[in-house]
Amino acid sequence: MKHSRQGKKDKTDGDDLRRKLFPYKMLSPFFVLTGIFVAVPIILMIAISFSSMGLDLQWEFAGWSNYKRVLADSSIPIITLRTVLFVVICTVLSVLGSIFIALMTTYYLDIAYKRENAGLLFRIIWLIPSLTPSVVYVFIWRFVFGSNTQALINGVLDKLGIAPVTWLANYPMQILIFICCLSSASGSVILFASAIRQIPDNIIQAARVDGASNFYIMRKIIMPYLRWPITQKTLWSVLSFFCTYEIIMLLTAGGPGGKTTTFAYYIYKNAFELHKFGLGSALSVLLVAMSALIGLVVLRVTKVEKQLYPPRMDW
Amino acid sequence: MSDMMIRMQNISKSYDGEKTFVIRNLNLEIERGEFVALLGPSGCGKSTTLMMLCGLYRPTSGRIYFGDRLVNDVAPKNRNIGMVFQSYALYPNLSVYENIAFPLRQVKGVDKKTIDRKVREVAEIVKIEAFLERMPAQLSGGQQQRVAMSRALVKKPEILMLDEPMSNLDARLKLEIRDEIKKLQGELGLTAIIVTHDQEEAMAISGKIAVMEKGVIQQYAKPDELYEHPKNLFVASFIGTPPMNFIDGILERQGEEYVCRTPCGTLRIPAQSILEQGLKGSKVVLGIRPHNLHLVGGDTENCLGLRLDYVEHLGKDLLLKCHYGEEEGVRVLSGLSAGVHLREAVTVQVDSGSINVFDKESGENVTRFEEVTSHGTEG
Ligand SMILES: Nc1ncnc2c1ncn2[C@@H]1O[C@H](COP(=O)(O)OP(=O)(O)OP(=O)(O)O)[C@@H](O)[C@H]1O
Ligand SMILES: [Mg+2]
Repeated sequence: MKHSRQGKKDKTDGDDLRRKLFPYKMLSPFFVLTGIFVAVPIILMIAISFSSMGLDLQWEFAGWSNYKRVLADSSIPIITLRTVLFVVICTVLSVLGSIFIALMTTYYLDIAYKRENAGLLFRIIWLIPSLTPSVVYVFIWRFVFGSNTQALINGVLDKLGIAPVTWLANYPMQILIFICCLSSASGSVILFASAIRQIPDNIIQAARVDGASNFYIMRKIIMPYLRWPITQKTLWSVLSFFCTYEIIMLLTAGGPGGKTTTFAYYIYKNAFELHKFGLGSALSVLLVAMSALIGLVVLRVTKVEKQLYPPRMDW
Repeated sequence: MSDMMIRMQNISKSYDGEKTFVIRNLNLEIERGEFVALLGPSGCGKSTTLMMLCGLYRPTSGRIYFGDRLVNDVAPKNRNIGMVFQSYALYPNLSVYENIAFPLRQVKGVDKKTIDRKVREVAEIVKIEAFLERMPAQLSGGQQQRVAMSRALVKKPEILMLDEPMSNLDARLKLEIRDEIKKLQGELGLTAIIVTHDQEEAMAISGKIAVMEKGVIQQYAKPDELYEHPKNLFVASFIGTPPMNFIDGILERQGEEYVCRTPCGTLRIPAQSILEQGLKGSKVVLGIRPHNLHLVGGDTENCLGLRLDYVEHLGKDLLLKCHYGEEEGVRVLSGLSAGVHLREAVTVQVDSGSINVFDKESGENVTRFEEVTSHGTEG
């Protein structure tokens, strides 16, 4: 009797272990892919950052020299500050902007005023920037903001008899932020629109019968449903704005006078224009650390752990 | 004397720009303090009708009056109604307390104290005081239902609208909640409209039932009248459990009576109990409720010969499932099963005067009823 109970217990322990390992088994493809495409590059990057690798691609140990050069580089503080500002402003504007557009089209047009075709049409048009390849996208904007009178805005100003403005020279950062936000907000309206669509009709109808205004419904009923997409979008924006360089490269090449050089573009310039791979890698390590830090702050501020669902089963 | 609370006049509703109509020419009158059920199969337009009454949908044509007031263009919040939705539609991110307070917070100039008093008052009536601080997800289905009721009642509406309020509850809880709704409605003197596809529920809770099919009200009458004198085959088949039996027959007049030949026997029906002008031909359908059939020993007057398939125990009674011809089923409700054997012939006698005769072609009931003519039928 006692013996058999013992045997049963052993079996349960084995089951327990298997049960604990099961999720990791299921996730193993993820671990393999992440290992190949994330962990290996990071290790390589760290390795290169301790070398003096240049165009010859020779790995030669260089100790902390790259990091010392970064610390000694007097432009780094201003570039870091500019990058943080760029990321924060772009993230806030694009998140707020896409929520606003999603509410206007999906709630107001689709749900409150039943103009579903108008809402859909607008959302499709709104999607275009994010579907356009960056090169084309940036060249369209360069045409819009070009400095001569062949360009769109200056052309119009010229017709009106107003002197042309050198837009990209005078307002490089403002224009950069504007077009980065537009492209980012373009893609994410869908995220918020579908979250709004998932709200059961009955809930909004109930609020309407209860006498709530559209504004109140948006604030008290719809916004809570958007918490998770907002977290997702914010995190994604922070990380992608940190790494944005191709729009800068195509629009201003970091100029004029380095006014639009962000950390990512600085890395690009050092590594791929000046071929200082060692220095570029050291900068990249810092960028990864910086974005990880800010990413964690975002997760903390949005209390992401509270938004995760408890397990649906105890099994 | 008639104190009409709600009048729907020639209401039609189309969702697709008048290509197809979900509701057609609907007329409905509801008196103050009445409890009316909209009953019908899924997709017949019950919810649509209710949504038009509460103002969330606009009728494509026709007029809706609350009292003397034309409310076609009145917003839901100004209609003085309370509404309980099928899935309860509680606001998931607000506590029970805030859910109930929600309608009050939309009214300007109601101070916190009044809100608190009213919320607690209604919570007490509906018996959910203990859960006020919980979130909706932490409540059972029955408790959520009660919260939805309190939210509908907190502004003391004149009209209470319920869209399948009990469809998510188990059978026992259904009975309990249904009694409570009925009681509340009476105590608060509300005019109430309930949407349901459960005929038993409709019969139990409401004073009057509008039976709908494909957007048309087939009959609007008191439960007993619907049961005894269904206006047509649709109503007859929809009302009553176990359902009414239908037997095809050929009607032939022989002097002072009609002789109806059916595949399982011949029945005699007095001539005065049939409205001759309703008959389009000689083909009819006889509608007989299972409790109007009785097992008898030998062949006597008004008997049908059937074959017994199986017996179902309903507690007090037995439900005998029989058939005649190929597979035409007939249900017999009986107190005893002595002397009958499965897969053998049985003879049942039909209560005289209990037969509803329907014209086969039009489906209309052609039986003459004394009460009906004195009351007058609606719709
Ligand atoms: N918003 C809508 N747009 C288009 N068609 C609709 C809409 N709402 C309902 N319908 C259609 O109208 C008809 C009636 O729907 P309704 O919801 O009123 O049925 P119901 O009687 O309440 O059915 P159920 O018992 O299944 O709730 C259905 O054929 C349905 O497809
Ligand atoms: Mg419905």
